[in-house]
Amino acid sequence: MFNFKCRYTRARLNAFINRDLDLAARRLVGQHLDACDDCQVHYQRLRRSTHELERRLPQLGAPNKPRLNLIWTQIQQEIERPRPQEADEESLGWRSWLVLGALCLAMILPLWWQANNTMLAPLAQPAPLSAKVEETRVYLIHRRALHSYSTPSTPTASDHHLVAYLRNTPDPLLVRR
Amino acid sequence: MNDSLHSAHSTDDTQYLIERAVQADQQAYAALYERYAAGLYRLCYSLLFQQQDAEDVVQEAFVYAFKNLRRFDPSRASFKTWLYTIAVSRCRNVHRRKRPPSMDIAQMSQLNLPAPQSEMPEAVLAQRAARDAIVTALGDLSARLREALVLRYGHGLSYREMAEVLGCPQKTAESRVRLAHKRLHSVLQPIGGEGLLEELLKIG
Ligand SMILES: [Zn+2]
Repeated sequence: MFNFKCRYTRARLNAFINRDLDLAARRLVGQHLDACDDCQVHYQRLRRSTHELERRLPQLGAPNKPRLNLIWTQIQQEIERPRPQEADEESLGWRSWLVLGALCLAMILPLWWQANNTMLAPLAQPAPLSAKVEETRVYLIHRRALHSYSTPSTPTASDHHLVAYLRNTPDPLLVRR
Repeated sequence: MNDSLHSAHSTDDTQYLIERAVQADQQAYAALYERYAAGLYRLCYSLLFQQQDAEDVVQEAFVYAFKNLRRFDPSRASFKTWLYTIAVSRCRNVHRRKRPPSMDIAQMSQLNLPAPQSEMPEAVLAQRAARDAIVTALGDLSARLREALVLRYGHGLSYREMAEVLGCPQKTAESRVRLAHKRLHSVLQPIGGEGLLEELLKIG
């Protein structure tokens, strides 16, 4: 009669045959096999086919030496070509760059669009620059022109003043908005 | 080829060959091929039952392994199970591409060619029939179950190694082997019943 002991034993027959069970389990399975005819039949059958497979399967597909040599010649030719992982990495790199480029574009495009809109609008209708800012801009242009003739190594006091002044002053371009 | 490269077959020795191969030592490549090609071919043939397909997979697997040798991590797998993993995955691809192979027993067994049948005693013929039956039965198993039996009994892999190669838990590898045995019996019984199993027992 098939009971839980049979179930326990059947589940472990392979391991029992392969001597993969620990001692306690091995003892339980062994005792049940001695007591149960059905499980004993199963065990004998499994043992036979296991041994048969162990004997037969290593013989299946015995290779033939000249064929293996031929395969080796082809392998040698292949490994002398450029490494595939380099090619893989190249193509992968190429794809990654493409994806990265697309992402950048997706991020930059709205900004560019916004910037364009904000820049185009004031251009259509320029706001007047304040007199002070315009004066500073002209002054700076002149100073730069002078610098190309005389090249001072340290900024002058008036430069510092100018920079400080400019930092507190709206960017002329922004003012034009 | 350098004889020293073929003398020992330990894991350390394989690792040494791999290190030399990584440094583009052609002799080391040759020695690795020499060491693992026959086993790998047997594996592929037992899974595919087609000589040409098996040879193609052997070639692809070695080329892949050799070109990616730097990626091989000996702390995670042995070179053998790594190579087998590559090959099994490629055999699965072949299975997916193709219909199940047609069974040609003589070719499938790839054992020594038999003497003319008229000269053979009945017992030998019966044994051969039994042997062919088991090979046919193997061919009738699903790819997953066949992989399990082939790795376990054809290559003597432990369940842990099988799990590594098959990419499944160890318990799954064990239950596949158990299920494969069960299927094998249900396939063999309609062919020859218990009598065939008795025949199998007598072989050898
Ligand atoms: Zn029982």
